[in-house]
Amino acid sequence: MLLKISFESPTPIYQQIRDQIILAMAKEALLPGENLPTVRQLAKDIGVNPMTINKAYNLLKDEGYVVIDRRQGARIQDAGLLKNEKTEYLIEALELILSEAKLKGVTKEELSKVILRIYGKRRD
Amino acid sequence: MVTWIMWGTLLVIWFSFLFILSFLIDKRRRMLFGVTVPSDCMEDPEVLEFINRYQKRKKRFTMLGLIFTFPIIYFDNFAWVYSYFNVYLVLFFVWLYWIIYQGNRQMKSIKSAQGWRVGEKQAVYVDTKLSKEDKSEKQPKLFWLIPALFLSFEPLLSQHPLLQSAAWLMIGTSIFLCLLAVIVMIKLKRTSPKVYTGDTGTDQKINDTWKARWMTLTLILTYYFILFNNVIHRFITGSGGDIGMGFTVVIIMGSVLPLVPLLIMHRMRVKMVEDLRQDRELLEVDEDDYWIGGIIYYNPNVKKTFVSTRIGIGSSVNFGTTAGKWLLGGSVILTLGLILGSWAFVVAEEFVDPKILWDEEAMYIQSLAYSDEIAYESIQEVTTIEELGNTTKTNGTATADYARGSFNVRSYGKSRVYVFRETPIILVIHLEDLTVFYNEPTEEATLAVLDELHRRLEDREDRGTE
Repeated sequence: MLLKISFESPTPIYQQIRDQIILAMAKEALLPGENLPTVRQLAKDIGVNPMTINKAYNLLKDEGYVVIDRRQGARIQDAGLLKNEKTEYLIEALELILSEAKLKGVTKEELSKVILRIYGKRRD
Repeated sequence: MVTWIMWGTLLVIWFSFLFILSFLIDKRRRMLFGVTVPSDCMEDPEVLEFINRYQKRKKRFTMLGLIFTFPIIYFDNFAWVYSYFNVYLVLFFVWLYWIIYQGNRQMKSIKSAQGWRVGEKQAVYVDTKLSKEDKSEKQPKLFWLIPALFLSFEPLLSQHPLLQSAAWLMIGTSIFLCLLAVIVMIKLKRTSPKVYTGDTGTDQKINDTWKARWMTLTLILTYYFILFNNVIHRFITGSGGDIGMGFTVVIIMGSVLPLVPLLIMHRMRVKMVEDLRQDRELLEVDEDDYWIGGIIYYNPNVKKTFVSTRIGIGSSVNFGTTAGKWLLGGSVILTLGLILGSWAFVVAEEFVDPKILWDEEAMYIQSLAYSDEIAYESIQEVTTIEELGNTTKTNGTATADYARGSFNVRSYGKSRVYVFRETPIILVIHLEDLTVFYNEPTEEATLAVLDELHRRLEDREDRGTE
């Protein structure tokens, strides 16, 4: 997957990493069981402190998207295990976002395109 | 001779200024004064006018830069020659920086006014697949040649007496170069992969190719500088021929020739990106705001110490990191220290003459940089000559007015010299394994020293017979 970290964005870097890994998982650019780069390597490649990457990985682990193994490092959670988690809070958050989108003039077609981009390729 | 050498060096510096100026308008890299611009901006009337104004400034700088190298020839005193050299260096460097800084500021404001956008602003792309690649297995094949490379020059060493400090210095430098090559290779191996297209396969291929090329170049340059080190050694020990010739060889070998492969690599890289851009859209990043005046990179957001330079070839230091601040500050202090220190020394050496101190057992010759203690009992003979003749400097200062330090003087061998060239008489003090040449600024003063020396030698003999 390709990570794009913006230093101009008001979103913290660890949050950008977390968001993009979730997006990549949904678009299947990252597959279940796939290893992520080590904390040190990713920190070096982006050019930030390893603590920033650690924070992103820990956040993803707490949310159940990745598992952290002491020997193998961080890897993507199995899809089956993720689906067992509660999703009501996501629907609530989505309702709010969709309402904001509607009020600000985002059309149904535009939303459909986004949904197709994310759901389109999924095997289920 | 020294004046001509300094003039030649000024010409090399002037030429390197022109070399830097040639990078300011880099259409292939889409960069104007270190500012990234879209390819079609070159037809913009405001940009055309800006380039036109710069061409006039460049012409003025080039002409005056060349003209002002000439006055150095008219100075006959080394202190003045060296002072002029340093003033030229400082003034023209400041002028060059001012041209680049002003151009960069103007270009940034044109870009901002036109709303030109080139790539993602202040961002970094990372391909996690490239990051995951196991670098430990990729040992460069040539890596193990480095120690062998040092040994390959060993036969050249055997022709020199190894106990000479210059030979040890040379061996030390060669070992240092080998270690440096090892460090550079390890650093290259661990360099973060660059994302060009976002396609993992393509990017991996490009990164691997370039890493291999840089490693080979590191090896070639290490070979080259060990050979260069050997050449320097041959000249400073006098086995390489005329010192003026040596200086020219050293300047060309040390500055111009190593630049050629670096320039070729730079051109190849520019061409590779250009070709790639024609095939597809590249993932480009706009880092203009991090470049102060197009030359100094200041980005405290990342921990990278080195980044590709924008004006010229090679790398720039990230001034936003602690290591970068130390490196940049250290090199500025070191350069200023070297220039000011050597300047002060040369001026003082010119105006402070060597002097002789006497006591009952020995005479002491003292100059700013060199001193000798000559015990009367070690003096075998004292004679006089009219002029020094052919000499080769091993460690000393030789100008049109004087020669001081260690020299090889023809038909005398290893010598210490404290001689004013204009004085028509030189004392030659023969010791067991060294000859000392000494005189004063005038013939009378030199003869007075000779009398004093004879008197002290006779006194000593008288004391011995009593």
